[in-house]
Amino acid sequence: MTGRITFGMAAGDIQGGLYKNYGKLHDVMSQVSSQKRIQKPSDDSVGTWQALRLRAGIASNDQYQRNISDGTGWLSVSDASLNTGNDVIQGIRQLGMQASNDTYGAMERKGIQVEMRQLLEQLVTISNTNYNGRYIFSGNQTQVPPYDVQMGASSEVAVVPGQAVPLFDPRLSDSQGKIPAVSHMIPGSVGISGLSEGVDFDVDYVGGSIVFRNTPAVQAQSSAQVGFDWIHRTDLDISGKIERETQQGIVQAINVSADDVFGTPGDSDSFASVIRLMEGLHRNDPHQLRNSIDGVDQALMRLVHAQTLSGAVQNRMDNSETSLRSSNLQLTTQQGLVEDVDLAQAATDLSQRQQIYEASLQVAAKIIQPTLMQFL
Amino acid sequence: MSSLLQTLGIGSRGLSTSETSLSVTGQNISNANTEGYSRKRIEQTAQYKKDGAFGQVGYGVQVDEITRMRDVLLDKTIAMNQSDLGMHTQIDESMTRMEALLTEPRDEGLGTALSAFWSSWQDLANNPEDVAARQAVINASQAVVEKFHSIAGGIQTLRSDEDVLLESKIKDVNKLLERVSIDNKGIVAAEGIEGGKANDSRDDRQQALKELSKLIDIDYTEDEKGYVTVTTGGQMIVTPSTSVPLTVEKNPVTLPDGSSFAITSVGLSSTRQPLHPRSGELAGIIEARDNVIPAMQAKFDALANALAQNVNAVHRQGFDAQGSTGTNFFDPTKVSAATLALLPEISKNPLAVAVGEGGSTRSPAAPVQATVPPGGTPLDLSQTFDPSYRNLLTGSVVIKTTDVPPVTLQEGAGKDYVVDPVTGRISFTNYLANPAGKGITVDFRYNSGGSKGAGDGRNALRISQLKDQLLTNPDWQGTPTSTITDSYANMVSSFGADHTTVSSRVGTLGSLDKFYGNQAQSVAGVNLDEEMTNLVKFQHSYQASAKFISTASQMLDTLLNL
Repeated sequence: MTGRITFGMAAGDIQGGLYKNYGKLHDVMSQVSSQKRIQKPSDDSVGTWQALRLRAGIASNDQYQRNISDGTGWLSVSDASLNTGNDVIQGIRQLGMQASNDTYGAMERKGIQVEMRQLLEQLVTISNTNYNGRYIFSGNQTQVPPYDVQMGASSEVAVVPGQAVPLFDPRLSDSQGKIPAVSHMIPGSVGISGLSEGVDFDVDYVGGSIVFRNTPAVQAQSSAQVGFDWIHRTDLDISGKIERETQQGIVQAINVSADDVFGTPGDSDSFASVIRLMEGLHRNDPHQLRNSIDGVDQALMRLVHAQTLSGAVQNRMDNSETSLRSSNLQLTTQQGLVEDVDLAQAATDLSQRQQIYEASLQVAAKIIQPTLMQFL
Repeated sequence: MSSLLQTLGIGSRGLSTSETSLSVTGQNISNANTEGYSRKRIEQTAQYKKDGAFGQVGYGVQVDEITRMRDVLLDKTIAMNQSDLGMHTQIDESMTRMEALLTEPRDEGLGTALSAFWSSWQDLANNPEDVAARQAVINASQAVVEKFHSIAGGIQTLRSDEDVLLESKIKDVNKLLERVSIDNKGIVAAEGIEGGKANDSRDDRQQALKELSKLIDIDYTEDEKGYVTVTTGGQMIVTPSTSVPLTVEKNPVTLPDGSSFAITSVGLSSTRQPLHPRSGELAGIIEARDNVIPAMQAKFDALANALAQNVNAVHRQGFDAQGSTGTNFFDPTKVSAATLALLPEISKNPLAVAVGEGGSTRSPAAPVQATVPPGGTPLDLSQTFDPSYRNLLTGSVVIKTTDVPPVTLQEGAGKDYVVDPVTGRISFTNYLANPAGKGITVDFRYNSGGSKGAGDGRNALRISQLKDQLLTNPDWQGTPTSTITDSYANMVSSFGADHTTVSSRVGTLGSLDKFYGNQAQSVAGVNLDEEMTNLVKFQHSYQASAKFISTASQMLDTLLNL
């Protein structure tokens, strides 16, 4: 500065300096009180960019972790019920092997048949496993059980000896109002009043039809009321996948469908295999019992395969979760570094700036006081 | 020899010079804190007269003029810097307000709302059966919409505030122009007729010019009579005779959506032409209103548009709980930040959110009973039985004869029949045994479309995955280069960086202004200690002059009493 210094200049300089020092003090105070280093984007534009991305990253990670914990819940229920299914099918196989022994008589086989029916119904119950109000083996049709046991169905049929007569269950109608054809009838449950099975008529349990024989009792009737229990399979599409995004871009199907577990519905699904075994018991036919064991073995294989599938998904989810945890830790630490005030640093800054401000106040008070007038 | 009477005259001139000096000092002291005041100083010279014996003999003192201590060149530099400072201060203030609208990085910012929006879709994908999860998606979307609206509304307020500010600043300019013009007349009148310098009017005029330069870029020159003429952008705004006020022009603007509003601009009353200030607060306000703020608005519009269009595109492919498809999520006619809105059908009805991907397959309740058509005509399932029996699943068709036991026919070229899966037509190519009229049952699966069930959340999942897709910031080929999250982070942080640049420019210009100000003050400023010294000095010289007069008077008395 050249030459003359006026009082106005000195006062202006002091004022400017005080504003600046107080402003710096205020900045640190607002950082400490809000605990945030960045108050607005212009405080640190690069930090703001990082903060926004880190926030989005953490939000996504939290969501992936929620997806995984939901998926894990689903998978553990699914796993538990598949384990039970495995036990049930092994039990069925064991009973079947036992009953195929030639030393067993008709009475003993009837006893085993009763036990077997319970196991079959248990298998249906397993197919109806429920998690949070959702049927887990029904694909996307989570409000509909894939299989259910229809007890006490009754179908009126015309008696035409020698022809396969398909049965229908008029109590059910599908989404389009059609009455479904019956299949997978439970051996021992079929009855026609006045006629007896194996004498007057034969039953195709898996196919769901009966064939009348040409006996006098049959000829006496023109129509017959057939009573039976059967296993009904929903006509809805249960192939839908239930998916969870477990990491960015990684979508995993967490469900196996009843078709994966019990086979494509038809002549060779797991229920059909068990029904064939029961047929052997019902007819007291050790030969058929032995022949049916293969089908049960296949049912077991299918179930084990489904167990493997869902175990593999669980493994991948566990891996995802581990990596999510560690990346979440990193992201959160980084967010803290970018956004939060370093308290030790801030406290030091605060006391330093306070000192500077107080010093400048003291100096200002000294400088603006004296004038020549005091001495004239 | 000089006479005693003449000697008395020396004394009296000394007295009056001291009086004048004292009054100048008093004026300086009184105006020590007056903005724009420059200190005055007396220019005095010694008087003499010719004398035969000594050549020159002292005749006392004379006040030549009262001069204004001022660095006129520095005034121009200050004015130019003022214009620059004024412009950047205005831009900085607008950017500060804009930044407050962003509320980032904060939990209440748009970034957080967007994260919650994507998460809500994932939660819905996890719980597609849950109506509450659908409602949560709608709520999270409304939060995003409201955040966009509040930012867009804030931007609109900001722009209209700039308009109001511009109008009031134009009025300030006109007042200053008039002040310069009045001072012009006062100065010329005072100096031309009475002679001397109209110092205080000049100070006032200079102060007006300084304030004017803060508002608008000006250039000024003083002519030989003392008139200052002021121009801006080459246009005369103060002439020697008068001032030319600026005018407030209202230009109607119609937006593409049909709404219209008036935008304020600056005009010149003499030419009726628009004026484009290049610097000063007026330029700063116009720059903020027409460039800085609209650029940010355009980015928010682009963001809202990308969000709405992309979510809609995926949403249209999905199926809602009532089996409908093809509906938008956001209203496709309202895709700017200010107008963004959910489709009313969606916001009123959570069941209309398209959560499922669809593509369900089913089979007829019972195998279709048919006969082989005569003459090689294909069996058309969709025409004969049910229009929905088309789009058959490959390999799903099972045909059995009604024989006892039934015979299963073989599918494939060269075998019994072939299937056209799309139309649902079955041609019995090689089925030769009792072909026409043969009773058959046909079982198959067909794609019935529609939802795959209440548990189908895949469309919600696909919408949530838009989060990680490149949707915005198209490159020169039109390929998007950035995710919505990244593009938002970029626009906020680059605005922050721009603001930092402007703020530091304001800081630089401010300290420059202070530096120039101090420089000017060191010439023109009043130093009270200096004035006090002068006060004592002039008091002493007054006392001495008085003593001199009394001495001279005593001498005269002595002479008269002789």
